Amino acid sequence: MNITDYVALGFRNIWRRKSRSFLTILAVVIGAISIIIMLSLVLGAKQVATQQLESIDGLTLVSVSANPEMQTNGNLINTDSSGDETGNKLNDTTVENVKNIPHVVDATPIIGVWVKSVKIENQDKKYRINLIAYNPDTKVLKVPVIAGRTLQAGDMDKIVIGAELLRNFGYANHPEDIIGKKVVLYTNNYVDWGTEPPKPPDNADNSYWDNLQKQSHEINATIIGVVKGGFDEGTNYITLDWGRRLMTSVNWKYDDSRKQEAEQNRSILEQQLRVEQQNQKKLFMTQLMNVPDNQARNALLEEWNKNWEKNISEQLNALNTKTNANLLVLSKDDGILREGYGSILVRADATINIESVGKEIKKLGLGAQTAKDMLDNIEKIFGLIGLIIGAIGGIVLFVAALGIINTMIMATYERTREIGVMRACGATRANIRNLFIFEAGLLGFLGGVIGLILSYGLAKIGNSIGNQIAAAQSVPLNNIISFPLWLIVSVIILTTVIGILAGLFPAIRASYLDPVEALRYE
Amino acid sequence: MVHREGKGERSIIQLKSVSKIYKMGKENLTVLDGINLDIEEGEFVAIMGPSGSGKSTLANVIGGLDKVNSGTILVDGQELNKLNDKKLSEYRNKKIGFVFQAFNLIPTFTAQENVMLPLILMGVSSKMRKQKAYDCLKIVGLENRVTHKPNELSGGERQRVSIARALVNEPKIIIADEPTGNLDSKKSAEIISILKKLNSNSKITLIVITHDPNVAHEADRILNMQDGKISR
Repeated sequence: MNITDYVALGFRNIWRRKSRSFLTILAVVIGAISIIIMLSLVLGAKQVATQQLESIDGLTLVSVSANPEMQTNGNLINTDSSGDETGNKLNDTTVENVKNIPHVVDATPIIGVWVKSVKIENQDKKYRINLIAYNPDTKVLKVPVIAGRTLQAGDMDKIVIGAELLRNFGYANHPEDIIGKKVVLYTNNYVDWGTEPPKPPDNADNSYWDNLQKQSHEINATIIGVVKGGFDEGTNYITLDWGRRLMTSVNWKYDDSRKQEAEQNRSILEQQLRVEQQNQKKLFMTQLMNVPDNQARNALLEEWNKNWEKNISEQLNALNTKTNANLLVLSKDDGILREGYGSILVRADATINIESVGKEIKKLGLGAQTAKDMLDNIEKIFGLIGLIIGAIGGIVLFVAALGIINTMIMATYERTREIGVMRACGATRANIRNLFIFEAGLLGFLGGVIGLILSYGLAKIGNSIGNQIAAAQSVPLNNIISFPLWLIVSVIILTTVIGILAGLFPAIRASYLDPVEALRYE
Repeated sequence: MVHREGKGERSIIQLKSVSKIYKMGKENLTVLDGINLDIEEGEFVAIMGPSGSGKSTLANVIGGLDKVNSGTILVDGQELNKLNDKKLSEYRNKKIGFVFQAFNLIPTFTAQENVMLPLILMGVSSKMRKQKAYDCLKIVGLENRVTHKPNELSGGERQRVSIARALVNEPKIIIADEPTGNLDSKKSAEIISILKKLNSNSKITLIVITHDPNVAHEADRILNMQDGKISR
């Protein structure tokens, strides 16, 4: 018997029981979809992450954090400096120490600059902004631009924006036009850039200070470049120098030494006044001797005392009020000096040295996260999601296999007489067996093919939703679900093999039917 | 030895002390009891006998559908007991054509496709088997029923399709197990005349199992079976 005849007969027999075949295939389809989505998700996520790392030569990057136990957050450019429960701080000494590790080419501190929102000139809408500061002088972070230029050392109030902000500002189709446009960044407190905070009035009370905290302050900047899309679309870049200035808050504060001096002056004055009071009192007492009436004398003394106390407290108070506003000085609080850098980004000379560099960094008591760790982590996360979907897919496929077995057993019962006829006409046992195996394999094959077609549609929808979510979360992932050719081929092979295995038992059973009995079967 | 009225020169079928026993629980049922039989090439043999006398089993044994417990069956030089499944299937495919009382056509196949079945199993090319099937349908007078499904055909037509199917591989032997059992006397006569024509024109050896004396009357020789033995 020819293969084409097996296939043709298989199709005919499947077509014969359309609804039953449809339901049997449906189970395979669902299983196939689960498996496809699982694999493409896991592979796609890894592929996309790898591509993006490669676009910035990210595979030789190591991110250093203050906390040695710091868990990776899936983003290589780490700005979270809050992990310093250990008291570790990333400062310039740390940067130098890290640079001295063998195979390290260069290192730059990274600061996540906290800015409340941003707006572009001639528009009112404000947007959330994720701002990262790095040292453009170093050979570490390569920010690919599609318009304008990258940052250079000494660039103050200059910003390179990501694709997300470009879209928000409405320049997605003509990024070159946004170069040179002014943006306004809004911060919560006065920083070491832009306008100085106004000097508070004398006797400023708490409500004045609270109010000052609530106001947002404007910082002007110019867009000089636009980052290539697809790579970390939500992130925008400025120079480390400017970032540090923006992270330095500026406030009016009472100067402690001046305050001390003022209080000393005050107590000296008080002493002097008391001494003078005593001296004057003696003089006044001798004058009082001339007053004969005892009662009148007492009243006069009381009057005199009262006037003096008033005089003293007035003079002291005058000193207090007069110095109050003078005690205020403009003070700068360098947040980086206090908290350390968010992270240090290190470039190694080759991918193979990444691990040894990571180990050396850990020896310094710091946390190190390599691109490989990040990929592993992404793989782990998606691997877990994949495992769950895959397990579901596996169970569904198992049930689908049971469905095929059931369908095929039913078919052998229904066609017992036909089996007898075919045997009488010269079919061998192998012919009968193969006929049912082909039919079962065809059920699996059709399930795989339909599953692939549906998955392709689902992937299109899933990707467009996924891209929106990823963009909103500033996660650097695009078109997570992808369909490599080998996946398509192996899914079809898998479902076909499942079909064949499921058909094996009914097929062998059918092939061993006694032809005479089969012909007599009602 | 059984008396012969053969017209051929040699025996195409030779059975020597063939026995078949079914085990039914503890009882043994002897269906064929030491049968010796020679059938000449081109002979038309009718087998008669009551139900359960073993005539269908005898036909199935000769047709290679059933196996025996003892004895030898020699058909056209091949000893059937010694053939494996593949060889035995090939034997049925090439040398035997079966016609059944219940027609046993495949309901989803057209008349032509039903006739093609042995050729499909043999691996004949699509073009050639269509032609051959059409030719055979023409022989049985159904050339205008080629694309009809069995349920669109009358009983007599169905039986003619099954004769065409039996014929398509140009077999040496056609075994018909009560081919007229489901047909009225007029249709029966038609079927028997087709079979008889094949027998005389193509020298096909014909074994017909029947209850109908009119059918048996057409045969060269009538074998009467009783309790697994040929009684005359």
